[in-house]
Amino acid sequence: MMVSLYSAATGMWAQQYKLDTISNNLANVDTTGYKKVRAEFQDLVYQYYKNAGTPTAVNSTIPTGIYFGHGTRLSATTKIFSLGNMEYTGNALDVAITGDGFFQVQLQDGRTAYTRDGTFKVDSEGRVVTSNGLALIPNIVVPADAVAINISPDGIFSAEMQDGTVQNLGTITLVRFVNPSGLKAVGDNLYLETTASGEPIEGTPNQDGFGALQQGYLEKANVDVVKEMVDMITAQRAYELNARAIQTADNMLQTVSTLKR
Amino acid sequence: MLRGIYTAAMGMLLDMSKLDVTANNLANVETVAYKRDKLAFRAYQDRAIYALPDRRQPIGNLTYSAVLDDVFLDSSMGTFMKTDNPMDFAIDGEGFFSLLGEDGVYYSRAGNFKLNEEGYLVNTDGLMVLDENNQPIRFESSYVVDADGYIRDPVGNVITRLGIYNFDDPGELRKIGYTLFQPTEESGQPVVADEFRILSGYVELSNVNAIDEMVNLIEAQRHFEISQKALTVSDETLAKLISQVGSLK
Repeated sequence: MMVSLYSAATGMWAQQYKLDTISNNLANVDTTGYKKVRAEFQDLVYQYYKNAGTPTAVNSTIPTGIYFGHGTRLSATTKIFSLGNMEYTGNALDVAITGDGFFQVQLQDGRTAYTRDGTFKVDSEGRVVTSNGLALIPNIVVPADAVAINISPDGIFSAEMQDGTVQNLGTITLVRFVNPSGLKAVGDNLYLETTASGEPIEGTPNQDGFGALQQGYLEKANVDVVKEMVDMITAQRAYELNARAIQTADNMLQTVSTLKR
Repeated sequence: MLRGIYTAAMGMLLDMSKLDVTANNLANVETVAYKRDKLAFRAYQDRAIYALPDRRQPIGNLTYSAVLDDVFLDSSMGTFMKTDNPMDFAIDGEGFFSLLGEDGVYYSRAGNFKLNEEGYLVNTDGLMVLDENNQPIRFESSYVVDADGYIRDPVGNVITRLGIYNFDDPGELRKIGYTLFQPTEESGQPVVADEFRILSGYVELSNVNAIDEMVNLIEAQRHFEISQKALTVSDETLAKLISQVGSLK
């Protein structure tokens, strides 16, 4: 049957995926530390009916070829790790990374996950944990009689005690990856290391290219609502265009079928 | 048989080809740096006709049919989109990025690159991007790419330069899918491009113009219907000839 029917169908299919990523970006527009995802496309294979340069006669070749493309495919969904907006919360346990880097947290099964969501809490044992109760690595325990918490830009976590003394509780370290786009997003604002991301490189905040920590702030999603809306509009129109191509192909086939009455 | 039937049918086949090309362009309306395909038709079997078979007085030429002559790519630039991603590059002007393929160097204008786990700059499919010395580009720390394609470390020292090449006739490059191109005899061999500017943080969008393609769709469909009408009329004429003129009473 006609190649166009299938090419146009791949176009509609691709736009559905694009809309899926846009919807997810928009749904996470208020998610702390969320990084937007972009759908990327590539053209599919080409079928060559006549190759350019094929000899036709002595001293003569076909100057140009005839080929047909077979549509498009989704080639990647890339996470864009640009910085989100910083929002002031005033909460002493909210920390934002103003640059490169991830916090490390301990999963229930012992593995290490990575996040940029700095909404930390203190659990019943005084440990610093994420909203989901996952312990921060390195472990930091806040004494019960601490009255104030201070986190310096380079990660030093200290507490002011009731008696007025300041106690150093530890240092928050960050990790970064050669290819953060290769990290596997597993939901709950967490990422896991993959072979594509490379090994985590640990370091001190505010040094060696790592971002500084900003206490009392949270990093919002880096989703740009206007851009997502524009993308949504173009996705819808591209979908319609491809639907129209299918309709045209269908009409032409119908015309063929009425040739013999 | 009646020549009109075949001529009309050839016309209908061309419309189908036109639809195939248009549908592929529309499917790639959002493909990074996609270059749209265009078609050229040509008249086929022009023949001189004469007033009478024995009195060789020429009347003129009659075209028997049309065929698809050529599919070529429109290498004009697409529009640019800002992406906030430092790994995205767009070429403003002439030229193609060079990528290391399995059987030689491929060329592409799609600059939505990534870093692989070893720190090499690669495209979406993992093909390594080459510098001006045909070597893969590896980043060990952060970097800056300037408008001339020089890759510098944060201090400003030049590490290397992106390998950007151009062709005599980019319209004759061979498309192999995955937004990659290969040079052909007609396109000419790659030469180092100089009329370009690298935009970091931008991607080049597809150069498909939705309006043009919609017009092509409508044109193909209507032409198809008209050709079908011509075919049907030819057929009806033949039917009349057989049933009325040639019938035995």
